[in-house]
Amino acid sequence: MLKRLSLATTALVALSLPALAAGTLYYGQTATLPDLNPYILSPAHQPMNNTVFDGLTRYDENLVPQPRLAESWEFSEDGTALTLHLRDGVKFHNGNDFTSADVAATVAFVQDPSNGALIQGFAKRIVSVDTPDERTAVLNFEKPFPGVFDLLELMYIVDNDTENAFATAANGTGPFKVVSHETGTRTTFEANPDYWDGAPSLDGVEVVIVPNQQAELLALRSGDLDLVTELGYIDLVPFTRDDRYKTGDAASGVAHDITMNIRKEPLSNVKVREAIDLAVDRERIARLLFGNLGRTWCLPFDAHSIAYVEEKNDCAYDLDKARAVLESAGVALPLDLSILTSSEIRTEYTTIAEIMQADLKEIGINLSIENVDAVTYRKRYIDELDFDLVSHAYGRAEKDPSSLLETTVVFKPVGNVSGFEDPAYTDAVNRGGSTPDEAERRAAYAEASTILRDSHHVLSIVPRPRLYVTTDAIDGLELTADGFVVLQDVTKSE
Amino acid sequence: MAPLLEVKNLSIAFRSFRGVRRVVDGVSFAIAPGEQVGVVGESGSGKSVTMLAAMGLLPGSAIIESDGIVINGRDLSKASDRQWSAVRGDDISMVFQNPMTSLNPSMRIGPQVSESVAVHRRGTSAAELRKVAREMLREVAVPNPDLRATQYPYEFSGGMRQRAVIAMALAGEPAIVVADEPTTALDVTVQAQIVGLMEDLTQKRNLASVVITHDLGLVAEMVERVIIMYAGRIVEETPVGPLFDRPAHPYTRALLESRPVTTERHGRLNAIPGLPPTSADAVPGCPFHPRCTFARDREICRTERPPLTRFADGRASACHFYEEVLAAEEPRTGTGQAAPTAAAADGEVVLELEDVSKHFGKVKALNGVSLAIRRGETLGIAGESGCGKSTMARIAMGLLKPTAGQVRVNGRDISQLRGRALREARRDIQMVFQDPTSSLDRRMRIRSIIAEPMVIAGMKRAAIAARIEALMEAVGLAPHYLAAYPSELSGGQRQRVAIARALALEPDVIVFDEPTSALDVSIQAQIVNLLDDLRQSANAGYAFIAHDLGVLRHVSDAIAVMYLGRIVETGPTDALFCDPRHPYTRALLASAPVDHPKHRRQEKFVVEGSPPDPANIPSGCCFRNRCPLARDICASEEPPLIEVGAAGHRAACHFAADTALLATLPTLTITEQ
Amino acid sequence: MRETLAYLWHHRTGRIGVCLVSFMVLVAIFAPVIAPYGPNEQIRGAELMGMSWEHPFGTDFLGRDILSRTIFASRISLTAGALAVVLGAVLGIAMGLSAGSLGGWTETVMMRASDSIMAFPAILLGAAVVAILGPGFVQVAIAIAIAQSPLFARLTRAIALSEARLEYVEAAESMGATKLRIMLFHILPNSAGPLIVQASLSVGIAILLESGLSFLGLGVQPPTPSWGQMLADALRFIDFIPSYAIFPGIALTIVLVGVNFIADALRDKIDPQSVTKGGSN
Repeated sequence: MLKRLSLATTALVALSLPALAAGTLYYGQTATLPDLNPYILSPAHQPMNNTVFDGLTRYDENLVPQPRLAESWEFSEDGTALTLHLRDGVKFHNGNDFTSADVAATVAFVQDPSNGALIQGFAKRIVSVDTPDERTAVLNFEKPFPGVFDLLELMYIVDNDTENAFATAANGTGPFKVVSHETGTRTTFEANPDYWDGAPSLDGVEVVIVPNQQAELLALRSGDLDLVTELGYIDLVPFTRDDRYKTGDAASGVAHDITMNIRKEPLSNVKVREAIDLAVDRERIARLLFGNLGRTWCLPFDAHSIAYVEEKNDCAYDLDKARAVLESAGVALPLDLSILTSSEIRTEYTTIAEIMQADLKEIGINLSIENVDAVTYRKRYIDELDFDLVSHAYGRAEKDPSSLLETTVVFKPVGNVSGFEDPAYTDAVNRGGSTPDEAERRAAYAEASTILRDSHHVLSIVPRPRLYVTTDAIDGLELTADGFVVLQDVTKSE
Repeated sequence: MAPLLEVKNLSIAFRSFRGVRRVVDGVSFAIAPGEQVGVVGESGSGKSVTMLAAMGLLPGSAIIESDGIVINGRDLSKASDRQWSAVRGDDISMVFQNPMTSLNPSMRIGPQVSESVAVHRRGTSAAELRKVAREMLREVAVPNPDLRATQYPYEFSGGMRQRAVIAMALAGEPAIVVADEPTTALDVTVQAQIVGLMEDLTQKRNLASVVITHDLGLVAEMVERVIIMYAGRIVEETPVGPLFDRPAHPYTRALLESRPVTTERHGRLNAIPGLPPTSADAVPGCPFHPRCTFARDREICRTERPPLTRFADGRASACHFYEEVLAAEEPRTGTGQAAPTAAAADGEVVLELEDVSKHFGKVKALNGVSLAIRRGETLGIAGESGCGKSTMARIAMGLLKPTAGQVRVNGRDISQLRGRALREARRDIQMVFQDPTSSLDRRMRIRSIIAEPMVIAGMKRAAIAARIEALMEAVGLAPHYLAAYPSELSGGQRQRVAIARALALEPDVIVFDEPTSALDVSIQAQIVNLLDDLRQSANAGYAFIAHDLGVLRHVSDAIAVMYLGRIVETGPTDALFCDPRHPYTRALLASAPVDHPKHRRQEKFVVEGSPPDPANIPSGCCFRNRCPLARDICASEEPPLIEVGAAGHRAACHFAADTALLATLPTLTITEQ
Repeated sequence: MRETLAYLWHHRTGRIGVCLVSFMVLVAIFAPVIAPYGPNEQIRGAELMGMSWEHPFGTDFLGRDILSRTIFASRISLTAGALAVVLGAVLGIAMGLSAGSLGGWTETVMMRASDSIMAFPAILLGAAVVAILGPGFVQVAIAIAIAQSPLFARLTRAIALSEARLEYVEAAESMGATKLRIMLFHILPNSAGPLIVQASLSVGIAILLESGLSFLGLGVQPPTPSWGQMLADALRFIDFIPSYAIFPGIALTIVLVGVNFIADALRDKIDPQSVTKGGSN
């Protein structure tokens, strides 16, 4: 019965797909691609961003910015200006030349709140753009802005002579041009033969929306799709055992954490928080959530980040120690605490909560799980601050520490959800984000990391990998630090 | 001549999860071509089951044993369903009791009538089938058969439907037709029409018929030979004439004596004591012996089952002492005790309706009815379905609000009362409903049922208990029934409970709505006698609604005849029965089945048609479109209810005073006593 | 009651139904005695194991014994089913009785209300109730009760209307009984038969609905197991350990089959058709 059902579903999906054209990459996703706006930066938009557009720079795997539309750059002495030397001979898809005016126009566009760019807040650190000539653009800041490459990576350059509505058309400089866009169904791209970095080897790319994940995976198995991303680990596993498919993972910029509300007794007691930290079995969580792709984090930074401090990545699962710490905390046991989660947002939130519940029970903390819908979750977590513990995940991880520490609700020095405030932490974060000198930045962020680890109010647990599967015919797929696909060098063999 | 239908030694039992119950035991009979036979018995006597078995219509849970069921020379006792289907409708067919349910509501009449032809003569063309349907409808006197054949059952009145059902049964030209209570569900005047029709048809077609009935009047009217059944056996078989003069079985005799008749007025009825047995094996010996006046203490009646003894004249009786029964004097209804009379004509008025009308939208159920009942008096209300008698009862009870007019119970106008005051006023007037099966809550014990009105009235527990005891005694029920549920009681016992409940609060008025019509003949007499006793003892006014003129004549001091929401004639019982002044009253009396076959060929006036729709009442006199006397004046002027003859005798007819003209409508001859 | 049980016992499928349901009820009552592990006991390193002697039904993704969880889940699923049906029946019967015996605008309001409830798929309605009251066991029971109430309301109204036509209601009215008394003392007891059949059918639907809502994460809160929640989890891991889905599924099936057998048997008892089959003329 199950088999017949699967076949029927496959047949249905097959009907809705055109015959495979050689050299076209069929990219499947469950989420609807609503438009071609490169600044929304949702998971649904990611197959389009680096396909139609280019940024000025792009991080390599060691988070070192590499040239894209900017060939080279230099900071001013005081670090408040960045001069970008722009690539020559780059043309937009409509034939217009790429110039410094387009950089100025792009900055203006993303800074305009009415355009709803996700990077709008970050982009406001650019106070003005000078365009001394067509090939040079100078970004001016109030204070030094060493994290600017996070911004440049995502600030996709648009044409200043095109009305950028992005509903069904988009004009970029990227390796593929938009042919057609049907919201909720498919979006078709063709190769840009005049691409400045060499014409792509694919004839085209087709993004196909298959709303049901099981159907999407069946379409992949039946050969109607070449590439599927945004998978759960569980969905990925069967493909890892199958030679006909290649699986991979990349950073997604998202990591799971437990946030504690230190305004409340007994979580105001750092010993209690430390005990909880000691009772979090990160290894087990990583293994149960992401199998052998799971990594554990004590700090919100990966090893290659300038904020990473080896000796502070020192968390350990030790229930005996946790019990001892808790007993020394001077609180009456057992403690009754609750943890807020929402399976609707991510089932892993609840899984983590269940694992913690079992472990905390061992040290004398009764953790009750409150699984609520997404709206209630955000209301209680962000607006009402009505929680003890929260199973949560933050974004903007795995790039420059400045955006993470300055802007996320869990880490920002002032007004974070934990209620944590420490002038030393605020100072360290501010220094790290506005000092051009890398050694000074490292020192400042090491301070911030130490304070975070000692305070135990946000427990980083595991980074989420972005998982994808391709057929073995696909080669040359790259992913950016944000986990966005780069299709420019992808090949598809017969 | 070989019989058309012969049943030999038929026994039937039913299997249920309580075990096997035998309902028919060793029944044999034969029907000759062209013969009219009546099968008479009370419910549970096995009469219907016997005939259903003879047509192969019993469900699978029936265990049927016989030495043969022979139809037209073919033994069908081992026949398959397919073989039975070939016989039914072709050789033998059936007319069911209720024409409302025996027609398919979603099929046109024409195709239903010709269905048996379509089934048995495959290949008959559609045009031919239509012709058959038309001709059959014409034969059963359905007017305008071309149009009628294309209509649906809901467009037919009850009488017309029964004609269609008869047409259906006869379309396949069977040699024998079985009619199961063919007139019971019909109005009195329509009954007379159907009886006439069946007589005509059987004669014209030389058709044999078997009429299953509980009604001795119908037997007197229609059949030549009678088979009397009791407890699953034939107890007497006889030509119809001697049956009424010299019954050969004590049960037959008791039945004859227990019925109230229209033509005469007697004192107490000779009720048959006790209840019929519940199965063929329930009573050892003669099944009738516990209720038999001849059995007395005779040993043989208790121990030995009497065989059906055939006499030289073709009669048969299953009684050990049939000679004694035959030798007894002619059976007579009533014991000769004093008849209840209008003793209390001077009592105060307890119920008064003044110019009461009730309209349900366009339907004018009641139009300006006025009547009064005095304490101690019984007013009988006669009329056919749709005449408004039940609506009137419900208005009197305060269950419905009149559209116009006043309803006074003990001088208080209850039509103006609401809520608590109305609920309290209702206690002064109580009702006994037609069917005790539905008027008693089946989930309550008898004690709670009788106690309920007293509990609602807030009586004390001890007082209630004492009253219940007194009431049970008054209605003749043993106290052990108090713990029983209604389903454990017989119909007559349930009606006694209903009566006890109505008496509980000592109301000033009691309305009886056809209280005996759902009961078997032998039980009906018991209830009528009980009511007689009550009327002597309880000091209330009574309204007695009935369609059975015999019962009405027996119990009423005065009668009101209703037609289309009006009282068309009212007066003292004897005056009204002996000197009916409204053509409709005459028609009603004429339509009542005769008491004795010797009256069968009497010339009688059978009114045509059926009462018109209460939503569409004719102008002037409401009876004019069925009345043979109708003139122009009847259409233009509504006749007032005027005094005629005896005191209090009033009729609403323009010709009420013209006795010579009225005499052209021959009716039942009734003698005053 | 005793008579009903006796009837069920003598009914061919009714007896099977009684056996199946009582088996699951006993399992629920004696769960702590029967279950080899605690329902939330995570056995470290034994996650997602297939069937074995230590774990006859295998273990789930957190290393919990599926047999034990299936056993403990019967408590939630059965209670949710029963609670939802009782609440739904009370609500529906109240609506249906008042509509059927009061008539007029009460009837219009009640029946339109039940129509509008019927217009929503039960799962959607459940989601809406949970959105207002928050997720949880009682909330889900309330949601299911609301979703089920129109069935009871319509049935009760239909019976009340047909009963109200019977003369005993008029008889009670003519004694001066109030509407309330007639509703509670006469019409309600006489409606019991078909309502019991409906209730037993509804238990099955309610257990399924609870499962559906738990499947969507709206039902009982983790880690408390219910069959629906276990099935939801199982679906994610079906490639690793098929037995994960099988056992809660079997438990659910046992109850549903049992309850439906009982409902069928009760319907046979109440259906006048089957009574007259054994009757006489």
